[in-house]
Amino acid sequence: MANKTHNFFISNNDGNFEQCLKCSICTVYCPVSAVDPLFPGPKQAGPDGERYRLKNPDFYDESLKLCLNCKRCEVACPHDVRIGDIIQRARLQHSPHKPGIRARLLASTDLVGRWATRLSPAINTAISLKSSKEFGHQMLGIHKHYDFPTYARQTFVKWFEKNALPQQGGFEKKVVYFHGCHVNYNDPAPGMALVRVMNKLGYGVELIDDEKCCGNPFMANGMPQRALQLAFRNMNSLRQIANKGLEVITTSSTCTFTIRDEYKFVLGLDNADIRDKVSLATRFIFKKLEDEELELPPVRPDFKIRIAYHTACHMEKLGWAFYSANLLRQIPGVELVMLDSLCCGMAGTYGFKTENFERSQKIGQPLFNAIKEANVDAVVTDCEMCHSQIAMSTGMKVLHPIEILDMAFS
Amino acid sequence: MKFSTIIIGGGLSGLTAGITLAEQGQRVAVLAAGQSRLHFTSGSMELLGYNAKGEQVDCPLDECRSLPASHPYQKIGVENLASYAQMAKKLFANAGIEVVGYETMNHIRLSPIGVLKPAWLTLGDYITANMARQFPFQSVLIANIAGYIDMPTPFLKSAFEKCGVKCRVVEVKTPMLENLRRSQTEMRATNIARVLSEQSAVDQLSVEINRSVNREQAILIPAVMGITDNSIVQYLRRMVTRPLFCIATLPPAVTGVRLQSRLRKYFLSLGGTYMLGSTVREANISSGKILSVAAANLPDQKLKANNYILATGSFMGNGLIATQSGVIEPIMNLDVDAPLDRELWTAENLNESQPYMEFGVKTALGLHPSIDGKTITNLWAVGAVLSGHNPIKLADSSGVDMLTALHAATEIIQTEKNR
Repeated sequence: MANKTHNFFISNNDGNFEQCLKCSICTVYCPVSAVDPLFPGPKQAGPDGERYRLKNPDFYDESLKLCLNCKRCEVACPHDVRIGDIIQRARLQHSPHKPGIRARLLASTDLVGRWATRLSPAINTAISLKSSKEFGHQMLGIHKHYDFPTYARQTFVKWFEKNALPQQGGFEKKVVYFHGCHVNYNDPAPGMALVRVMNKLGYGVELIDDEKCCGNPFMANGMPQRALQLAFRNMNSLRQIANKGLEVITTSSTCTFTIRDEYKFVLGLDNADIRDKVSLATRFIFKKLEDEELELPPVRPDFKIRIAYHTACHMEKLGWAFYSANLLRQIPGVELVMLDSLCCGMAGTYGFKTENFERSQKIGQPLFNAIKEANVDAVVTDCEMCHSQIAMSTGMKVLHPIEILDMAFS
Repeated sequence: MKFSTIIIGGGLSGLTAGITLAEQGQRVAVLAAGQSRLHFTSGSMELLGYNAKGEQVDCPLDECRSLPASHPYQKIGVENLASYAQMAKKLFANAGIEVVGYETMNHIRLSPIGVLKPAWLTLGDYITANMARQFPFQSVLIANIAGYIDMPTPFLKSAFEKCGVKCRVVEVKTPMLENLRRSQTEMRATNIARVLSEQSAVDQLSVEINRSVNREQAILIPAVMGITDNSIVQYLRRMVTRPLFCIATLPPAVTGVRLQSRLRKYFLSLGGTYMLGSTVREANISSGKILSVAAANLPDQKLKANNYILATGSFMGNGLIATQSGVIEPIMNLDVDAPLDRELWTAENLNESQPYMEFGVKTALGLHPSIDGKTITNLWAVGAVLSGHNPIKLADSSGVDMLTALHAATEIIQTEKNR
């Protein structure tokens, strides 16, 4: 339950912005600055602006909402300044706008998903209609050109309970899977693949009884208190799992990054005891193979695929693209093209918004061009929202790394 | 994860070593905490620009012989410098970076504020003069971009005029660049380069430049084009009616970003692993050898190699940290050449050469550092982290970065052959 005494506005203000040397290297790598001169850029919006905002919050500038929270500025920074976190916290603390219907709709992946999966396929037909897209565009501010993700007929959890749960007891080794909202409500395929792959590798899969949305969409849409409630619930579950000596694996890079880093640096929570208990499935498998605790199962002899790996922004920030790409490279029949690490422009719910759509497409253009030139069978990425943006903007088939493993082993 | 060599630091020095080793088929990983000092490179590289007396150096290779024994060039053997310098030039060519210049004879580069300085190599796009300060043209037109303030044209004009070159300054405007001007603080070289990456934007620019030029023999523009390669600069050159060259700008420098990205791309194309955002925090050392290192973002991950290179730079890159109790090398706490007495760190006159500039990791024979006097035999320190040189006073920073890295790489290749 949410801790009533926790106030993220005063927590964790460790003066990290003082580390900034004003070298401006971050501005070179900002995907927003590259396409929109009205964004003040990470240096100005982050450490420079923070100095003023601490004196007087009136210095808060609404253009900060153009930030994608991609953290590419932080990856570039030679001096460990958490520029993205400074901007994200400033928005949550100072934005005068109360979240409206759109923000609540986009952020409430869990609540909306629960209802939408029950009403799918009616919902899917409805959201693909031109008239409802027009309605969404005009009334809600969700851009009509965007293909809103469809909802699954059956949630991942329902599928798991019906089709996978009975077999999981037969494994000696166990691992816990944090599936995230997108796998549960929109695209269960990576989750289903994960269960099959882990079973092939000799692990039984358990789900978390009380899994909640990681909270990232609430942070992005101006609802920190809701994000805090979810973070407390999840941290509580993760602690119980850790106490049982089990590890938690994920397929979503953003959920992983949120639990590991945003809980601490944006929400100001102490997650030290659970931070390293949550790992991406690709990293988990890579490390077990490396430590020779696992062997790859035989691969279908006719398996052959040419794929391009796209490094999602939060994968870049985690520094874990190495694991996914090098796990894929170990699979016989996989030919992997490593794309330059570039932002796709989607940034969770950012690209949906009418006022952002054009900017979002412009940001992604260099990546889309690279994908078209790569001449591959499919694009592979660890992020569900990059998946959605790339599929819509390039028409390419997009898969999760675990789905490639599943295809190879089946 | 096991590699032949792990390099800590992803700037000019780290990438030079990484590329050289990867070209020989080694399995190499570069771990970089963030982006590097290369982003400030204003198009030129220096081997040795001034001697200890502060006099301009014409022939850097000859002058290196008179450097003190503590200088990194002496530690890698001045007799080796010529061949390392050749290797450095070849490395740039292999990476698709066009440079001009000779290790046997410096040339003159123009700094962003119009100071003339000796240099070893300069990117092919830039205007240079010979050591007698003669430019190849008698009259030039500086075409600056309206609203761009990181190139102080009055200083540059006066620099040219002092060298007997007639100089006229104009400001050019195009609709696409005017759009960028809506935010004055973001009118940076790298943001302009994004706009000028499209041919249509360069077409507009070339029309304006051609309209402005009178009888000048050459056109000079700020180096605000070509963030990934110089093909767009070549395109503009074909579109204008006079020879066109670039002038260095204040950072962040477009050509610095280009150097970084081309070197990294070339390294990756050789099969190298480049991990950005991986800050190395500790090393596991036993009986004078590193067994593995660990990065902050890779918990429970041992990164192992036969050989290790420390290319973490000086104070800016956190290769060295000044604490209240002394200067330290933060990863392994290597022995450093820096006095404990803080009084000795700085000279009172700000314009004098500052002692702290020469602080760095202590190395014995060759480039092996030590801990409490005990040499780490499978570790080489290269580039700005080394003690014994003052890059501002001597203008030797790129030379130290590249040549020490090439020395370490050469020794490592030899070690691996003998293994």
